[in-house]
Amino acid sequence: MSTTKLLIDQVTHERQDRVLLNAVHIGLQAGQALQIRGANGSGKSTLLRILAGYMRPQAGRILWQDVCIHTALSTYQNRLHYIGHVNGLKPALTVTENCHLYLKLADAPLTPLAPVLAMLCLTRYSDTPVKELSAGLARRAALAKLLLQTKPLWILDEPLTSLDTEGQAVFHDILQKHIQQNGMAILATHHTIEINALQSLTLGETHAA
Amino acid sequence: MQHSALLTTIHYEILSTWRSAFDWVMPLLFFLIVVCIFPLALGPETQLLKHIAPGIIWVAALLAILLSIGQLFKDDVEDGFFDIVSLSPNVYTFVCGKIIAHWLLHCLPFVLLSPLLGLLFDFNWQEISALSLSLLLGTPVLCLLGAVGAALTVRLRHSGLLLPLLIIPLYIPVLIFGTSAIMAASLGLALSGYYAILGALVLFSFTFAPWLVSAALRIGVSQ
Repeated sequence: MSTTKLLIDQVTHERQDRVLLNAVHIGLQAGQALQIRGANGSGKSTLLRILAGYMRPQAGRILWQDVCIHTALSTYQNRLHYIGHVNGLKPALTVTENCHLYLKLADAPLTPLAPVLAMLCLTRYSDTPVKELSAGLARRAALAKLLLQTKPLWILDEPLTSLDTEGQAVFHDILQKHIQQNGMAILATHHTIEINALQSLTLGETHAA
Repeated sequence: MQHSALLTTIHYEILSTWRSAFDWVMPLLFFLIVVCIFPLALGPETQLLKHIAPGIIWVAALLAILLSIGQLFKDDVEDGFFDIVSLSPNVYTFVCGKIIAHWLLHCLPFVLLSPLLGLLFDFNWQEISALSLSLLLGTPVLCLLGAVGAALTVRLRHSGLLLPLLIIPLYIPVLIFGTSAIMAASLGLALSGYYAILGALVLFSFTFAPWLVSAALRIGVSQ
């Protein structure tokens, strides 16, 4: 079962003469999650953006099933969910409209939204414009896309920010289920993630933990 | 699927702008006010005003478009929405949808209002139809070229004046053929040549601009 699906191969990246990522090397298999820790400014978000294929690392490669992701970038990007530190929602549109627009642009079939919104406790807010939602509710709305479309790789930048205890519990459930179904997840967060098969990488130290 | 992704983008773009109606009305009012201050500055000489009116209306439309187009991609990039879109297979469709929606919201009103402005400047009906038709064919080009500038400057903090400096030189051909069409109409000359060239400019810019915009936005994502 365990061939390495995603390999971060000696990735090095500098920004303004400061080495952010120094020969980061770690592999991830199906059914595993990777938690990235590190101080502010240690390059967590940069590493996630490199992993999502937005940026090319200055040295090293990212391999997905032994092929460099930049050789077939759109196929690779089609297999992943990325949620950055901003929510990626259109503020003037309601939660439902944002979900519809997302599904259409992703060429995905229109799945019923009600169960997804119910799971995230957003049913009451389905017709509220995102800009009127509180930070925590907007974060839940951003997480909805993880449930709308099944994709093997999740790349999440501080997914638990501004979520309350209940929201964090919901997120843990979703993540646990995803991992159990052989999904993969890479998270940059300082919160404790309590799931099985969790690897951890701490940036800003010479060697990965 | 491609088709419906395009229509969905247009629909939600229009809805999104509609809900912040103030942003939508401002460029339109700017256009009307710029046109209306010329008679105040130049005096009420009908002949003089009629002579320079095509230029006034075209320059006002051009400035109003520059005013609104700078924002075209800014919100989507800042809200992280474009990050999500750029993972999907529909970046090009999304860009086309945004530009078409922008034209429908911010340029079609100019075309619809132009007969009224023509009357204001004592145009006859040939001149009015030339004004409306040249705006109908010219404004999509202004939008498409402006979108390229907007995509290139989207990551810059103070891009306010850079965008006009980059884009106005590219607007010159449209301006020349648009205003000449109206002048030719007032002389009773044939207009099909002007329309043909404006039409060709629309096709040319619609072929290349969305592609350039997608590429420019992708470069923006990598920073």
